[in-house]
Amino acid sequence: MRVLIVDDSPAMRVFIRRVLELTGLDLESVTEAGNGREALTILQSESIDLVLCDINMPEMNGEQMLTALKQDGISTDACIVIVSTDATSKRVDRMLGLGARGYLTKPFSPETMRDTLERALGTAYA
Amino acid sequence: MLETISQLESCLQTAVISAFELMCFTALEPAVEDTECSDGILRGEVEFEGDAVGRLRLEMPVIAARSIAADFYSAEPDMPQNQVEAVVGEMANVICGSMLSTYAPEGGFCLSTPEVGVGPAERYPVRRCFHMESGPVIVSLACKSSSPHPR
Repeated sequence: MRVLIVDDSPAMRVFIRRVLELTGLDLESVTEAGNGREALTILQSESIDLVLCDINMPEMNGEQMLTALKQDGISTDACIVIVSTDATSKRVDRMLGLGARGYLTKPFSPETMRDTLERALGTAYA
Repeated sequence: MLETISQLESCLQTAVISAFELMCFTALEPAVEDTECSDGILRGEVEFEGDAVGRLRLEMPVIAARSIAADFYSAEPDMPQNQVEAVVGEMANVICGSMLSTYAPEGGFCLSTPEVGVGPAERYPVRRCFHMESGPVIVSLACKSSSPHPR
């Protein structure tokens, strides 16, 4: 599985990568982006299966990235899962409504991450 | 206002313990008495807006921050100071988001980018103290105002 981690915090990208490795999911590659705009560039040039995306980021946030994917008709088969501290129902519903297939609330364990990703991805990568 | 602070305080302890356990694989014990960090303090601070408005601060001795940063990154504690500071900031951010999500699960909030500083700072009115193996952890809150309908 080819994964893209999108977060403006280098520390959080390291942490997410680390927990991802602990899930036991089959990882072919892990790429990183610091905001939604960088992520869109990568999604247009690389084949990505899973995007783990923060919401609050400079330049282009997670919500703007999801909107851009829809509006600009960027073709990607990537499954997008939001990773955020915000677990309020309003925020979760909004992000899922914009096309995210899963929502992972920080803090999370490797087990919670695996469950969320398996649900979002279906059985293809389980 | 007092009710808001009381409700936030009740959400805070769970948020702190859970964040340290899941992100730094570190067990925290609530302290019975108020604690002070003696010297070499590192603090991360986040401003929040939404159903409640205020600031949350996480502070601990630098040596304790190095210990949790090592667990966060799964690395040795002799990492550059900026990496340690980034972890303290991220932990403040996660604790604050977790606390607010429990406080008003149907509401919404915005968090500022975490600020990290060294040394003592103005004391906030609500304080929760914890012990971990490498030193004390103090999380404190200041509320400016709140929505009339927090839930």
